[in-house]
Amino acid sequence: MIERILFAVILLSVGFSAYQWFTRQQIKQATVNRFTDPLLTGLQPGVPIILYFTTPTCVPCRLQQTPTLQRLQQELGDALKVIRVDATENPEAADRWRVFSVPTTFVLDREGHARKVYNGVVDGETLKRELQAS
Amino acid sequence: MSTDTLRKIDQTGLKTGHAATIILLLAGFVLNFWPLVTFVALAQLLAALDSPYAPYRLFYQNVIKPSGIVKPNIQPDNPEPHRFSVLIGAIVNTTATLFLLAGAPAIGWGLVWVVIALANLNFWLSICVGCMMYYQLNRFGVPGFTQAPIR
Repeated sequence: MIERILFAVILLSVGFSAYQWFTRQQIKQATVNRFTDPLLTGLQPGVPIILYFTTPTCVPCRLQQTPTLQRLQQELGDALKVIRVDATENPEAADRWRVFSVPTTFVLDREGHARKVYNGVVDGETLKRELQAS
Repeated sequence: MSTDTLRKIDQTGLKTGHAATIILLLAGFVLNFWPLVTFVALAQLLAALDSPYAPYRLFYQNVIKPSGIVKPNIQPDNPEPHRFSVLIGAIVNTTATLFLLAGAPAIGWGLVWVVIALANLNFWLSICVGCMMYYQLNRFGVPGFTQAPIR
């Protein structure tokens, strides 16, 4: 049984580590993109950015993530810039930001550093906490 | 389809099902105990049939929800893709059981690990591969796959 436990722990750890490594790469790439990417050119400096990748057929995007971001934008007004990107219309952008699923949401702080990436649905409170910490 | 015609689903209930699947299948693997795989297959089949006696549903409604450990998260959604997804899980776990009983543990447990991986994707990242398959089949006009993605 010990070897089975070990096997399960190793397999789960490998999966978890691979995901952590991938998100770190996404964040690293996002920080590089902040200063060069066409999606972010001409934006007002000093304002945190949420970059949100979606597709028209993404059900959780439509029902959960988009309304959450709309509420957050209404609440924070000019103190936040939300950029919505349709990955089917702009697949090059999705490649540049290493997006592998939707919804994917990047949080960039006032200085343009990528603080966090959420692959999957993220709730408004978590995003707000992340923005306040930035 | 407008969101008005959608039914509502408690997403926390779905997550409870994914968590139970992961825990039970991991326990089955560690203990080398195939009946747990069969139990998960049965539980998934009952969930796919929307049975009121589905073990995951009973567990969520009678244990998890009243305990207040997690908050219900009710969202408008199509239940059919999720049912299709658990049906796929039930089929894979049933096949795994047959392989385990037939003396082919590598294939049997390999299939179980596929379900564990997919349930993890759904639990942690809300990536429902079965739902994606359902919507693709709907796009191709396959009979029975009536719910289109929301636009």
